[in-house]
Amino acid sequence: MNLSEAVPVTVSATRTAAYVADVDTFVREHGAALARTAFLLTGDHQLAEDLVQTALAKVAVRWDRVAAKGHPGAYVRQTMVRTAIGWRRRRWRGEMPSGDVPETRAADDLVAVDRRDRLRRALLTLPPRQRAAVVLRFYEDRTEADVADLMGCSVGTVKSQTARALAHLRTELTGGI
Amino acid sequence: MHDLDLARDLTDLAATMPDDPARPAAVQRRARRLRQQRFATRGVAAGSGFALAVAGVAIAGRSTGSPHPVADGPTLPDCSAVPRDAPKSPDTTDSNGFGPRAKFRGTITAVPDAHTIVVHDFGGHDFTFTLTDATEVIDAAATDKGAAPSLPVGESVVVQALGAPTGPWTVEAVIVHPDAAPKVAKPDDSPTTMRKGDGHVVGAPTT
Repeated sequence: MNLSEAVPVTVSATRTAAYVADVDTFVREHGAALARTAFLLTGDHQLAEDLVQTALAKVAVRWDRVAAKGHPGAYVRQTMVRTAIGWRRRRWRGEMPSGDVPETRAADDLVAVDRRDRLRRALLTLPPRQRAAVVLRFYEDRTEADVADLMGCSVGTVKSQTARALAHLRTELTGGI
Repeated sequence: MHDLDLARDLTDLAATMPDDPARPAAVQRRARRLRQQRFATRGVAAGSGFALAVAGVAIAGRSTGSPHPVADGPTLPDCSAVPRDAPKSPDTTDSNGFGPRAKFRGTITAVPDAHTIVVHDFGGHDFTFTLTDATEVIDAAATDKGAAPSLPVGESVVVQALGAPTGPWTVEAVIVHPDAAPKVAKPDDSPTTMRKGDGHVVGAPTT
């Protein structure tokens, strides 16, 4: 093999290694936060892990372009929110990760556990768009314009979806007591 | 429910989501699989497009190469290009190695000169035929086989022509009153006693 044949292979390998390292670094830095948001969007640990991995894989495929534009985190978050909304529409749950399922914390008192469980169940009764609006507005503390951009809708839609979601959550959480 | 309570409760609930140390490797695996799926999809799409293009070219070639002269009447070569005094080629009497033999059934609409007739066929096309010395003119309804048939305007005829691989069509025979003969006889095995070259056009030429 002469030098002219070896150079492209070397460049490609270097580029691939750099891309893999970039994606790995991004996943390690932002994966946990994304997974927490994904859990609120899905209400299930396994589904949340599936959702966040799906979104990250979609972005990793076109990592060069996403990284070149800057702020890959916003792009991943947008992909994750829209994928979560689309999952319900398609009635598809994708892959179910197998293997060791991590246990949740065991030191919680029963009241806190009960409160969290009621909130999780109340969130699951919301339509995906309303759930996403509530999570992004109140958990991630984003503005209505940000939420509209992430969900791909207008600010007015975010306002109406949020208002309906809050009204529904009030009924669900206070009505049960 | 206060907004602050909801935010705190959501944070509390989200904190129960465990971190997965194998997440980076899982993401890389999924990305690799996704890339392979996209590559395969593009390959299938490209293959399908190529197959459709090949099929389209084959169908187009078959339709343009159709040897049926009646269906493609206007595109037929002009038979008037055959000169009356052209030397008789041995190939014109032998169908071996020639193109298709075709029959044009219609009515004589014009007789421009003593050796040319214009036939309007049932397909609505006008064909100009030049009769040569080799052309046989057969009157299927004639009782006197020795009499020379005439080709007046308005007469129903069947023109039998032989297509050459290259060049114009050769008129082998013109059958007058074809309805009188349920089966059109072939010129080679025709029971008529007429000799080749006996046929000629009768009547004033029209322009």
